Amino acid sequence: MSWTRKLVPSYFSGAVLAAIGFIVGSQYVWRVIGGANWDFNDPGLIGNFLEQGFLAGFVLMTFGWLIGIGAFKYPLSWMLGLKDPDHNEELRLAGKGDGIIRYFRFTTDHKVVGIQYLVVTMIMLAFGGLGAMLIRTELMFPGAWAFPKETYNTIVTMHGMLMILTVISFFVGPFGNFVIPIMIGARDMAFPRLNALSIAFLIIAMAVYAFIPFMGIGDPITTGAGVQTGWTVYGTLADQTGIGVDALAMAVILAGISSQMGAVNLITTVIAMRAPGMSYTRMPMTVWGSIGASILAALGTASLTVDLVMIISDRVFRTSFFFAATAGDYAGSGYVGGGSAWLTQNLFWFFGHPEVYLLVLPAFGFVMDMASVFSRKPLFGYKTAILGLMGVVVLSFLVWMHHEFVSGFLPELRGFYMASTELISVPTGLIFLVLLGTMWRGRIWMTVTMGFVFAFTWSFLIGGITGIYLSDVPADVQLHGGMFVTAHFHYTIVGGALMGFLGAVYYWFPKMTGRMMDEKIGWISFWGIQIGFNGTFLAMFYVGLQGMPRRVADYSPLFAGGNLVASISAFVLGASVILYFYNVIYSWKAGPIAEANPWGAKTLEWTTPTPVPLENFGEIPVVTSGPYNYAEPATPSGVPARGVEAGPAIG
Amino acid sequence: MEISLGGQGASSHASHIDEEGKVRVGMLFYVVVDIMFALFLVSAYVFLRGVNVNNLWFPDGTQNIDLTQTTFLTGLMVASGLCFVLAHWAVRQGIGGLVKLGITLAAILWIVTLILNVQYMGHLPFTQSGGGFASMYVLFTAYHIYHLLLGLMFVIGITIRALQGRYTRERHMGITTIGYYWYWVVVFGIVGYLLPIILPGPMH
Repeated sequence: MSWTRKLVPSYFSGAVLAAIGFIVGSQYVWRVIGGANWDFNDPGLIGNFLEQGFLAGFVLMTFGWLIGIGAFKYPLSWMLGLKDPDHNEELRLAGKGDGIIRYFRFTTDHKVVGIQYLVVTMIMLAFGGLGAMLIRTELMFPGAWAFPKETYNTIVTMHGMLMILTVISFFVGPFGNFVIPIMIGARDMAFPRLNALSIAFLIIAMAVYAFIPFMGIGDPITTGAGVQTGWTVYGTLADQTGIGVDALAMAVILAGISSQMGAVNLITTVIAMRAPGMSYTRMPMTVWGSIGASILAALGTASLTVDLVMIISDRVFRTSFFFAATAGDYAGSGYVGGGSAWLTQNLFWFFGHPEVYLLVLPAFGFVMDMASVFSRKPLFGYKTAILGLMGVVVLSFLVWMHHEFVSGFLPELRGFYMASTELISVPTGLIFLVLLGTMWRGRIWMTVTMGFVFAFTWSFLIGGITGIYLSDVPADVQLHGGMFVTAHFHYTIVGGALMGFLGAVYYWFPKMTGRMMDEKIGWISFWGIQIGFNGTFLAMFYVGLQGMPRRVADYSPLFAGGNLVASISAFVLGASVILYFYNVIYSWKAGPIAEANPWGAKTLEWTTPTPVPLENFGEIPVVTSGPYNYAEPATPSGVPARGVEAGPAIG
Repeated sequence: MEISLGGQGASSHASHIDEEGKVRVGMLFYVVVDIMFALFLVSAYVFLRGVNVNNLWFPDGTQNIDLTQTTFLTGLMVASGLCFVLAHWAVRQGIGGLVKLGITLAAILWIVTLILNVQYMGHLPFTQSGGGFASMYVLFTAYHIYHLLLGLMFVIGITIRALQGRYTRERHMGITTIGYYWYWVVVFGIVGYLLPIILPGPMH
């Protein structure tokens, strides 16, 4: 195949058309509609059409990207009633015989998409982590000494939203794609093209996201470059901040579409593609956790999308969704009023709180599976675990208004939302019970993966218990808007979701890359992460209880000690994560060759050869038992001697 | 997890998978996602209507919306849905001619609705900047137009395939699954039509 053929269509041709699309869209609005000349500081450009131009640019950029990667080829051919592709054509689209270029194309093989997701989410994590380091640099000492306050606010916003998008992408991405189809005995995802489209949307979303810090520079009308709202992007603030918010809203809408496509695909795959004998009660917990997260993504993301569409609309088309003011107050602004600040809060948090569980549910699944493998015991209470996961899914839609306890909105409902929030600790408690029961008296095989399982258990426990304080109205009134809240949700998301993710990378790395990750570097980075993480956020709890507000670049010298400890610990955390990345890259290149089932695990993905062939299975397997039967005598080759025998009886 | 290979139920191809069922489930979930979006739009409308006790919901002195025109547009959309129902029934009965007729009529009505909706949106008696109601109403209309535009791909594809005679009594998955989307767009059109009447804007 010639190079031209390989590169068109590919991500390279997509990038070229995306750039052309952006230039055409933005320039058309600025120059043709706006009538501006080529001087960027032309008042015609800045005053009226700057945002509209960017918006048009982003839309055409997305279309250019999709056309360039060839995403429209099949829909167009379907629409014109042309011949459906045969099996060989499907295999070619899945990257058969394409070599490394298949990772840079619109490729439908779920394993290729999984690796694409792994790399993209790791890059996102790196940039999000860089933002965290910059934040801690600013907060190391009192006084806004490192950055202008507006820049600091933008960094906080970008860090927050990017990290949320990263962790959302973890579930549908590397593992949802690579592992879950094999785990349930399928040859691919239900809709392979939709799958390739979901990573394509994430990539273009991140390209749009990268515009944020550069938008509005030199613009005398907006309040500086970037976006200063915090990750919640409340419409009332977003209506007034810098124009970077347009890029942020557009990027998050695109990433939301990506996660919705992934969620629909994952749910359909699990419902319709399971191997014979793979009943719902034989599915590993990773599958159940991802299904729970997919339900939340499918049902909840639309709320955020509506919120963001309204934000863009308020800014660009001068609608009044979030402006409640009377006309006289804002005469001449273009806003009439008739909106509500509470609307943005409700729309955001109806997504925002389930989203926390969306992040952590797959991690629940991962750690339960990994705990079983490395304790050499069946899962303690399989159905209890499902009950816990699904209980969290249902209840997570009934708690969002605890974020509005101090907003003045319907105070009579506070009691209900306090109770419903506290109630969610019951299904979460069931998951902890299963996790601890599984490890209890097991023959623990202390790999780095298992270290992350323990770290998850400890960290999420702290995150969960401090969440109960915050669900309590009197305590929340005191702690709301402070560093205590920041520490709490970092204990749930970093301590829960991220620890689960880092452990899962270590666990599935051999299957995904064919190589083992280095154990020694793994342990060093593991302990660095634990010391750095706990040092950072325990100190943040401390200053939060002292009364330090969040999202401020400057603070009272009263909080200096705690912040210094938090910043030094954060740098330890950052260095350790870099070491983890180094381990991933080094091991991918030079790690020991992995056997097909190095951990002696029982789930289906470990029955396939490594590297996993196209279409995964020579024959679709017939499943005859559950995923955790470590009491059975079968010993896969290469399992360490402490391996597969049954653990002692529980209790 | 114990498995057996080559035994009863094993296959070298994915023959155990119900392809039709798979597409049905996928489309159903897509429609559910879309319904959720619409649900939040409706909730936002109700919410803003509820909190607006002053005259900002619809500023005084602005002309009312024309119910005759919206009734006509909704009627067209419903007619398109009914033609699709007819085609769906016909394909299950194996009446090929009626399938072609039903789908073609449904498609024409869809496209006419799209064009007239764009025209209607361009000639509203208010702009999107005219307060809470105006903002919501324009967003509703825009979302309906988005549905119609996105559906255009389905409409053209299914019409060409129907005219090619590719749908039979045994194989008509396309009509069934695209039907989910088609009916949902009709339902949303009705909701968007009724909402300002039930929770009124300026006319009451």
